[in-house]
Order: sequence, then structure tokens, then C-alpha cells
Amino acid sequence: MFKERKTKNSKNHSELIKTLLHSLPKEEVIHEPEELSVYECDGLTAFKVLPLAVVIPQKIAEILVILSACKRFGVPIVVRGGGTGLSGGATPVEGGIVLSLSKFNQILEIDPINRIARVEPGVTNMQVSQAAAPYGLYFAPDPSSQIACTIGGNIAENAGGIHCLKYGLTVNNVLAIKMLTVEGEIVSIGNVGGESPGCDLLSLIVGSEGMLGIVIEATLRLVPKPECAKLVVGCFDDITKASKTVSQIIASGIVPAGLEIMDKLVIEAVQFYIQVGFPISVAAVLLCELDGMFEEVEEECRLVEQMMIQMGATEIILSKNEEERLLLWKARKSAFPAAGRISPDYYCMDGTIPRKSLAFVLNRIAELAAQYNLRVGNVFHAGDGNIHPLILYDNSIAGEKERVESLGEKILELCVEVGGSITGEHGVGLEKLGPMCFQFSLEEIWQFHRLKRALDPHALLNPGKAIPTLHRCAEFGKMHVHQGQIAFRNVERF
Amino acid sequence: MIDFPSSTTSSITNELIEKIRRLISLKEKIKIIGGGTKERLGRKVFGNPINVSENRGIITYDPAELFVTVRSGTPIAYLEAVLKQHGQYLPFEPPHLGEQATVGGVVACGLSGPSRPYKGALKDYLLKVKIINGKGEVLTFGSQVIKNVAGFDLFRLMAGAQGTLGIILEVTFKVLPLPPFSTTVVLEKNATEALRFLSIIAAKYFPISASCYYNNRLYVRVSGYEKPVRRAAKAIGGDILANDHQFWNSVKERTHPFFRNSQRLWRFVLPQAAPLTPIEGEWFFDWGGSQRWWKGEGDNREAIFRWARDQGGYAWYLDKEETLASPLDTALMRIHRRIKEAFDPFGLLNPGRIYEEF
Ligand SMILES: Cc1cc2nc3c(=O)[nH]c(=O)nc-3n(C[C@H](O)[C@H](O)[C@H](O)COP(=O)(O)OP(=O)(O)OC[C@H]3O[C@@H](n4cnc5c(N)ncnc54)[C@H](O)[C@@H]3O)c2cc1C
Repeated sequence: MFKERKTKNSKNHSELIKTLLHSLPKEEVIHEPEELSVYECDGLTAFKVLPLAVVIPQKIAEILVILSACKRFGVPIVVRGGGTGLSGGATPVEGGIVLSLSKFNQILEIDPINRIARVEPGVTNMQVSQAAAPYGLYFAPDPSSQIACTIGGNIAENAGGIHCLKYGLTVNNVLAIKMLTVEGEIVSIGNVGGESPGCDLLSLIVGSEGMLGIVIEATLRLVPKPECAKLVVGCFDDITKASKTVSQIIASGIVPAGLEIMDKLVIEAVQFYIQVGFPISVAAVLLCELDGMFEEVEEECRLVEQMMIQMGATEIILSKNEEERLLLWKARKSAFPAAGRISPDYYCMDGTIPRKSLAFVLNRIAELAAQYNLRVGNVFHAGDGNIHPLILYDNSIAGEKERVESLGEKILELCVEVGGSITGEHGVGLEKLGPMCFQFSLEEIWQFHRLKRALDPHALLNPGKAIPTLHRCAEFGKMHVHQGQIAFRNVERF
Repeated sequence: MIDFPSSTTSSITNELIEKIRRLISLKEKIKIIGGGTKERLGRKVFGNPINVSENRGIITYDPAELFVTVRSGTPIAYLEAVLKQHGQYLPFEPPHLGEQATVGGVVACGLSGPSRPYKGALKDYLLKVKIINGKGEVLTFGSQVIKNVAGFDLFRLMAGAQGTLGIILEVTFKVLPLPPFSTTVVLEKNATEALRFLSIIAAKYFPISASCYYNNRLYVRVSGYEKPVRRAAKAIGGDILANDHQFWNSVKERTHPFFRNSQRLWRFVLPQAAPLTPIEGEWFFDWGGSQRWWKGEGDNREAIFRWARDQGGYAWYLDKEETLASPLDTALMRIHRRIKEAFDPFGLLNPGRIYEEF
């Protein structure tokens, strides 16, 4: 973990592959370079590493064989779910193997009496809700990638979605897991009833980016579908007004099921892509979904509409029926493909800020974008302050990518400065190792390393991800001070 | 405006930190004391007493942003009173179990009240924790924002760790507005019927905020806007309970008549619909049937722990002075010990509080 591992040892590599081929069915081991390239990255394509091999086991006993072989030859393992991660969590590590859990794709039990689903980790997020639907139940976390991402990946990243403002993130909706430790033991963590003796290991494992153990089963909380849902869309001629309305709605005590903002650039891109009929000159739209029992939805719609008008909305669109509600959401959900249509490349950032800083941060981002001569669109989970600036660029222009990275870093620094976080849902992975040094002191990073070592003493599980080395933070700090940028809060500590 | 009071360290906090660091440098064991109201909730600890109750006060409270940051020695009753003045509350309804109960003690014990299955547990409202670990380092994990996936969630790990991993200095909670209206209905049911009925109503979208069962009566509280609450209460049925606030307070604080003469008490946390326990005696169900209290001797403790385990849950045995939890299996115990070492390498903080082994 602290030193470069000596896995370049090609003899160990060929021995490992020999062992794997010997002990697993042939079709479960991929090691030809041309077939390996499918696995060279996850949803973050900027980082690519060819793994030594990919194994796709079907049984727990096979995972045990793989674990013990990797331990013997000192070869690191990267677990892979749907590969939709956006921070490089499932990107292979140099000289390591990829352990794909795609064959662990069974829903083991839907228990409508206790309102739980017991599933294997390779089941997709969407499949759980589909299986629960006949009982009027669903799994609340709904990442936009829900058709493709897996429960194992959701747990590892503590995934959220549009509706997590009201219904919580993955961590609030997982009741228990079975985990394979790096020692090859199966441990049961958590309790369907809600509390277990000892420390809250469940909350520790959720969000740990595949670095502490391999999740092989999960018991998820299912919740009843609301009686109805309505969408109120406010159009504003100024994004500051839309942002202030967000704070107002939340402060009033209403907890919307979703509260999202799209800015001018994104609206234009979307309008170009699908016809939803937002007014042409609008600077921002605020989408507020209210769900629950009929009477409360009616009451809250009225209140939200009032607040939007008070805050200067130029127009309000209220979904009249389910079809209209879904069309309006489609506009929001097509923001990313739409951005792809108006720019050759885009980089989707992820950070969280306190709601009251929304207007300040958005304006500051616009200033920074102008300085860097880059276009930035904003479409984000406003209700919980989770921003997703989309930096548009053209990779074929020399130096543009570097400018994007530098701007991205500035934005994350800004998030931390106002009391937020460098990642709200995509995780740290490989992408945000540097910015971790903004958010945490060296002692705190040390504590993360000690904890990693407690569960994975030989650094076999996804090593080098999520927690920067202290050396990296030192370098990062020097670089920033050197360039005379905003004070780096960790420098004085060492 | 980006004007956040940097976590100003009061001189009392500094003194406390210095005192703790001195003990750590001498490798002295430390017994952490908040209000001293929950000693019974774990095993006995022997060590130099460190009292955190002087480390009190609200550091930041921003009602519009729905969060509050307080020092760990702040009485939980005081915090709740301040929140109430602003029409807000801690939705997990922490049991105080005594006037002196502190925020640090409540977090360390990971205590949640009757609303737990419907509104979430303490850990669901914990946003940030500042601790001092067993090496004397002051560390902050989490942030005031809800969505934060940077680094391991070490702040949630403090909830229920009973001070074995670190001494809590500061806590940030997510808060919510108080529901505008609440009512409780009482239905005549036996225990089996009650459990079945709870499952049926939980699968509907009713704003239930608590439910418990005792002595052939099922109590269900519904909270939210008045109109839907009234409709839900009517659909659930039964009679309206007068003074329901008092009733739920007695459930939360364990002052309900059931808890009288409860020198020996078993607590089970099980799947909601788990079958009735085969042991005779007086029962009280909370958390929609997930938290079950049993007043009895339970001579064969191992058998009772095993029964809970077979149902997919756990048990705790509280005698007059301390609490024993279901034993952990070897692998889990090893993980706990290693985590303990990662935070407290010399084994100084509340040693043996949850289990003898760490
Ligand atoms: C178009 C698009 C939209 C997205 N929208 C959202 C969104 O709205 N909200 C959101 O939160 N995220 C979103 N994401 C990001 C991504 O989908 C999530 O992070 C998701 O949880 C990853 O799941 P996965 O199965 O693809 O995991 P992978 O990418 O395969 O892996 C992610 C991490 O999980 C680990 N892992 C996977 N399975 C296991 C296991 N069984 N045990 C231990 N570790 C494991 C991996 O090692 C890796 O570190 C989006 C991504 C895309 C491409």
C-alpha cells in the first residue's frame, strides 16, 4: 500500500494464470490481450490499464480458489460489477486481475412480508425494483445508470439517484450483506431488524469502493410506492433565483422526492435533442417532484408553486398526468447524451456543496470557465447540493484536456472551501486521489490507510484506489503552493 | 455567502484534548464518561475517568440548511429543546435514559427511538464526527452535506462503537422539520395478529412514524399533514389514543410500566415478522416488531442468543449493571479487533466495553 508492489514479476504472473486455468473451467478465465481490452476501464475512459487476466466465476468456491491463488502470487484483485463507475473504481490495476461478478446475477428472495430483497451482487439495480413491483414495492436508490449498474457496485460506491433526497442513498437502504474477506472467510454483516452488536461494519463497507472485502450477497430494504407523484417545473430568467428557491423549498420543511436544476446551456442542448417546450429564453429550470399520499402531494404542489412565483419564476409547468411527468423527466435524463451532441467531448464532474452556496458556486464556476476559456453546463441534484458541472471540450485540440483537468480540480477545491465534498456519488477511485488531499488532513488519510490495512493487510483488494498515498499528498501540496493558488489546508500540518 | 465558522475549538475542548493526550502518552487506560446515564448499556470499563460533559455547546445551527453541529458533552435534552424552538427535531428520536444524557453518549451507544423503522436510525442522521483517536490525533470525518462519498464512512462507524474507537468531540446531525400533525390509534390484537397486521400496513404508503405492541394492544402512530394522516389513521382503524405524546415518550425512555422491575431484561432485534419467541414471559414489541423486549431470567443465555441468531437477528442481555451482546463469530471478532487496533493501537479507549476482546 505504501510501497510500489513488485508484481511486475512475470514468472508469478504466468504461474497465476496457469493455476487459474488449471482450477477453473476454461471459459471462466480470459487472458488473451484482445479479449482483455473490454475490461481496461470503467465508465471513466481517461484511465486505461490492461489486466493480467479476467476471471468470471460462477461459484463462491471458485472465488475462494482465485483469492488464494492471488494471495500466493501477490497479485491484486479488482472486483467488477457493471463497469459503469465514473471514477475508475473498476479500472484494473497494473499487474492485477479483474474479478467479474456478472454471473452472480440471481435474485434469491423477495420477501413482501418483511419488505426485503435478498440478491446476489451482480443483479442490476433495475432488476431488483422490477422483481419487487408485483408487490407494490421497489428499491429506492435509482442511479441514472440503473439498467446497467449492479447492486455490488451500488454498495461499493454508495450510489444515489434523483430520489435519494427523500428516500436515501444506498447506505440508508441496505440492511445486511454477506462479505468474503481477503482471508477467504464469509462474514454476515448487518441485520434485517436494523441493529447488530459491535461496530457498524455495514456502514463502513458501503462506500468502501471494493477495497475492504468482496460483497457476495445483499439484503435490501424495499419501500412501498407512493399513491401519486407530480412534477412542478419552474422556469427562471436567472439561475441565482432558481438556486434560492431550492433553499426556500427545503427550509419550508417540504422534502421533495427530487429537486433538480438545469442551466441554459443544458436546456438548449436538451431542446435540440427532444421537444419538451421549455420557453426559449429561460436561464434555468427547477424540477421539483412531490410524491406521497394524494392530499399531501396536492398541498405541497400548491406551496411549491407559490414559492416559485414568489422567487420570480417566469413560467410554471405542472405535470397533468403520468405521461407528462415522464416526458419532463426525460428532458432531465437526456442531459448527458444531449451534451454529447453539442460537444465532441465532455467531462462530468461530481461534488457536493451546502444548498445555500449554490448560487455563489455556480457563479464562481462560470467565472472560472471564462478564465479557462471552456464551456461548462450545469445539471444537478440541487436538493442535496450535489453538483455535476459538465465541462465541454475537444480532445483533439492540444492542451485542452489538461485545461479541463485543471478547471475540474479548481471546482472541487471550491466545493471543499464552502464546506462540501469532492464527490457526492461517483466516488474517488483513481480520478480524485489528488483532491482527497484537499478534503482530509494527513492524519485522516493515515487513518484511512490503517483501516484499509486492518481488513486487507496485504493490499490485494483494489490497491491504490480511493485513498492517496501520503507522498502524493505531499507532492500535491507542494505543487499547489508553488503555483500560488488557494492555500492548501494540509500544508501546515507536516 | 461562504461564511462557515471554522470548527472553533473552545478552550474547554482544548483542555480535554490535552488531558486525553497526556493519558495516552502515559499509556493509561481511559474510561469515557458522558452523562453517566448509560453505563448499563455495555460492559464495565476500568480506566482513568475522562468526563466529556463539560465540552458542551452548539457550534453551528443553520435551520434552513437542516444541520446542527454540537460539542459532544451537550445534553441531548438541551439540543432537542433548541431544535424544537425552530420547529425541528432529530427524527430518530434518541432515548435519553436520564436527564444528564449527552450527545456523545447517545452517538456512542447508537441509540434510536420508536421512529427508527420508519424514519431511520441515528446513523442515518449522522453527517460528521470529530474524534480523538487512541494515538491522540484529532480527526474529522464526514461533512455537513448529505451526499459525501469521499473516503471511508468513519463517522458512521462511531455510532454504536461505544467509545472504543475514539472519543467523540463534536457531532453534526441532519435535522428535519417537526411533522405538523400526529395521531395514534390503538387496536385490540394478539401478538401474532399484531405482527401480521404491521406487515400489511407497512406495505402501504402510510406516513407511519412508530408502532409498538404490548398486552394485546397494538399502537400505531401516524405523522405528517393533517388530512392524509387522518385518512391513514382511519384506514388503519382502532381508537384514537389520548395523550399519545406521553405514551411514546414512555416507550422511548423505557419508563412504560412494562419496564418497571426490569432488573433483568432481554432485548432482541429481529426481522419484523420473525415468529414469536418460544419462551414464556412478558413481552413488549417496538419498531414494528423488530425490537422486542422480554422481561425474564433466561437461564440458558447461550440458547437464547442462538435462537435470535437462527431468526436472523441478535439479542442483548441487560442485568442490573451491564449489558452482554450476542457473541460475534471468530471472523467478525477478528475484524473488530483489527479495526480497534487501527484506531487505538495501545488499547486505551474504553477497553472491553462491548466485548472482552477489544
Ligand atoms: C450514464 C451513467 C449515469 C450514472 N448515474 C449515476 C447516478 O445517478 N448516481 C450514482 O450514484 N452513480 C451514477 N453513475 C455511476 C455508476 O453507475 C455507479 O457508481 C454504480 O454504483 C456503479 O455500479 P457498477 O455495478 O457499474 O460498478 P463497477 O463500475 O463495476 O464498480 C464500481 C466499484 O465497485 C466495486 N465493486 C463492484 N462490485 C463489487 C462487489 N460485489 N464487492 C465489492 N466491490 C464491488 C468495484 O471494485 C469498483 O470499485 C452513473 C454512471 C453512468 C455511466
